[in-house]
Amino acid sequence: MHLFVQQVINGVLLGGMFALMSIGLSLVFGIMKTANFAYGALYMLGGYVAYWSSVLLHAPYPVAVLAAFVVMFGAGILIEVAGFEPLRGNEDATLIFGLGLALVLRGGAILAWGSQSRFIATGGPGSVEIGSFIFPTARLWAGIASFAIVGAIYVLVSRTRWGRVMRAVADNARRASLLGINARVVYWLVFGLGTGLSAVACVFLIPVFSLSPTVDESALYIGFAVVILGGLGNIVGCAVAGMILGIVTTLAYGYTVSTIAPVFPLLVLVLTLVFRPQGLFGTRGRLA
Amino acid sequence: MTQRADANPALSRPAALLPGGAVAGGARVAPRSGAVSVLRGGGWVLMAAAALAAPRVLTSQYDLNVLVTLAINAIQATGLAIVVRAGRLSLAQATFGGIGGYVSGILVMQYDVNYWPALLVAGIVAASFGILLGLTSLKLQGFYFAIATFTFSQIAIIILSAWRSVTGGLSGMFGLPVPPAIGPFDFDDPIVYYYFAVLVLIGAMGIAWLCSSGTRFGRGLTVLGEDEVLAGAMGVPAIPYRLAAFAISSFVGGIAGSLGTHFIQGISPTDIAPSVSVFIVVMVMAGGVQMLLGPVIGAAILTAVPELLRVSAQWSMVLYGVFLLAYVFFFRRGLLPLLDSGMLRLSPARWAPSPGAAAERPAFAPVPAAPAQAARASDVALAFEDVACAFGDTRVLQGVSFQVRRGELRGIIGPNGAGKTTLFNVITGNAPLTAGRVLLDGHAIRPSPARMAQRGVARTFQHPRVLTTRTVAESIRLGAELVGSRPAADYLDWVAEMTALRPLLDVPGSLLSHFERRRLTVAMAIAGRPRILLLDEPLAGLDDSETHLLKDRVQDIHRRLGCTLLLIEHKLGVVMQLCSRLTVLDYGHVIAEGDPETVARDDAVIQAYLGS
Repeated sequence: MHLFVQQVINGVLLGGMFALMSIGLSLVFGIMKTANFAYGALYMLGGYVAYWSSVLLHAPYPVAVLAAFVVMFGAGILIEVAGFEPLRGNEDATLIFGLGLALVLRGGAILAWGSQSRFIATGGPGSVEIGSFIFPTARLWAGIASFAIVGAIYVLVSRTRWGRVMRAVADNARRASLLGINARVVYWLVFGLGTGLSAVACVFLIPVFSLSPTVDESALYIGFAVVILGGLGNIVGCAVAGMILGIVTTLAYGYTVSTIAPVFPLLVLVLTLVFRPQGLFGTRGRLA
Repeated sequence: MTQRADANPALSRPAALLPGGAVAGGARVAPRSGAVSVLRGGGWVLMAAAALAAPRVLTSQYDLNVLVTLAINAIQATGLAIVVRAGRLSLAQATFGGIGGYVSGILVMQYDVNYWPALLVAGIVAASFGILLGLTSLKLQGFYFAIATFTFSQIAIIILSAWRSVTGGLSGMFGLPVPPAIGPFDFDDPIVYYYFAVLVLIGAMGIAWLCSSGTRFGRGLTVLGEDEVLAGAMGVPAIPYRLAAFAISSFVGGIAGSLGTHFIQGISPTDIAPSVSVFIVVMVMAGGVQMLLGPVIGAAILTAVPELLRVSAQWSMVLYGVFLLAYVFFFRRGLLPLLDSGMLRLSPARWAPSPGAAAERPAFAPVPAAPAQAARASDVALAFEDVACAFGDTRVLQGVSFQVRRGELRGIIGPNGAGKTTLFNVITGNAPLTAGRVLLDGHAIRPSPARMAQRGVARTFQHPRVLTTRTVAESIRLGAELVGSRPAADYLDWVAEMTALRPLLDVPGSLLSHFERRRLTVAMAIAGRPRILLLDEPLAGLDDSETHLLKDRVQDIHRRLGCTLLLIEHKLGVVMQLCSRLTVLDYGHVIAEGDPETVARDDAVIQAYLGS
């Protein structure tokens, strides 16, 4: 029972990280209906921006995070303008563009920085004991930070004027344009924001998952798993789906052999795709 | 504008504008061969010669290894293209290859099975997994299908890594034997391996040909890849066709994977990572998915170039990525079609003089409905009993009951949003039949698009859907063939004549005007000699003279084919002239039915149209 409770709490923390990992993908997928297959690679790139600004420029941790966000925000806008915007409406071309960009970035990252795992040094003790439960500090902080960021994005999208504009564009970009909203600019900003957030996610999760050019693949499939399970562009869905997958993952690691455990969250994704492709909180839309 | 040009703008199109400059007027719908095919044939011969001569020129051990890899990649890409042509981009082809490799490896190493039967088993097991994945995910579209295959791939990797006792876990299997010799041919020799792989490649291309232009099934698949809804209306059921395509594609994948595994004599889970599948996608796309040789060329270039440059795996990853980006922006149809259109431009056929554009009347025309058919005219061809259709809480049709007699020309009218198109969609299974029954010839049916088409119910769509990459002649032929009818060439000529498409037979769908598209949709619908024809606003968006022409043609078609015709139309003057009976819908209910004069005087109808 103790193990179970410990694993569930770990799962919730991990779920927060999964939600953070996929929030950028979810925003872009939900608002722009663009499935960005380069998401994982951009996530990885954001991590490296923070890493190098911390290692080479000795930037303090918060500055490194900010630098990663700003640089990747700009990169995101650039990619949207140069790549995804002209291809909008053509799913196959969008998909292939994303795959191509991912290959270039990943191959380039290995060439430039090698494939070894890296960490950003964070001080403090290795683990905290609360009652009879033990939490590695890195995971605890990453989990808490994740929930904070996801919460902030939720407030941004659902409670602010800016969020209302984004939702209007998500609902019907052309009609939003008729209301005087510049949908193109909203798309740029959303893509920038999504990419910037992926960078922040990567930086926050470096202490847990480390950083190497191959984190892109896991970020991509966890991202898609969360987004599909939660429902397109639904931030509450993103958090809930993240937690479900997190708990499934930690329980799987707790109760099965570690080699087979990674299959379970994937099975959740498969079952979702088969039985409820619109996700838990999504409405049956254009995908079915 | 003159009245003549207006009435038939198609005829005024200068023949020189026709792509390829091929025969225009007096053209037949039946296929012909042209000068371009000679050039293409030359290309094939050149390729074949290069494939045969390669190991004589590139003789070092390293070169030969590259050649074998190239041939195996070409098989893999040719296999993947089969399912891509059917409209689904799979990111699991390398996984099917891996499954094939593991299966034959395990059978040979652990069960002492001879390689050749093991190879066949490898293909069959891969195909079974293809069917499994297809059953669960083929109903998904676009991104979602890609993600489903990506997930499948991840699961396969995890299971293969975890199942150490059988698969060797993360380090995989090594020291696998090469296939046993066949007669004097020893597979330790890479030249033998190469020629064998080329032989398999030819077989795979044969299969790919059968799954594209070679058979009715294949042509149905390619139409499915272009437009699923239109394919349904043409009699192609999406799920079974795609499932078959996926099974065949993964079978070829499994065979290629097994050959590759036993060539390098080992396999590990990293060989089947999604990124490897993406490489195969690159080959297919880069070469040109719609052409049989496309994936082969793509595989050749993308295998040879990194080897020629002697670059590392990382550089070749970047190279593949750049290739994909270039593909998206510069040659989205692939390299081979680029070459092909280049040849077309150089081909002398372009400047060949066109024969006179005046089309002679076709010798053949269907006779007006025979007396035997007229005698049965009292029979009910189509009946609705309390039909309802709802999307969630939105009820589009409710309690719709009426009958259409055989051979009748029934008009369906009503204000916008009355449910007219939904009525058609319910008949053809494009919209759900939530309550009630639809009876075809007195038998209740469970509508599904392809089944209805094959039962002789043809339809057009409100927005004209045409096959953009096919020429008018091809589209008409497909319209006839895919519903399973084998009409005489004369009949198809008559169809083209009736729809005034004869001067446009060689024009691809993408270049047609709105009016031309309208006529093509009608032509495709009647190409299979339907018993029931559903025309959804065939006159929408046409000017007066166009309306006049098409109206007459619709009447003529109805009379000559003796079919039952349901016509949705907003141009009331036309409906009043054409139809013997009208059914009026409003807010999903039938509000009036009767001959045009009665309906025109009906108070409910007047109120629905003019408001109270």
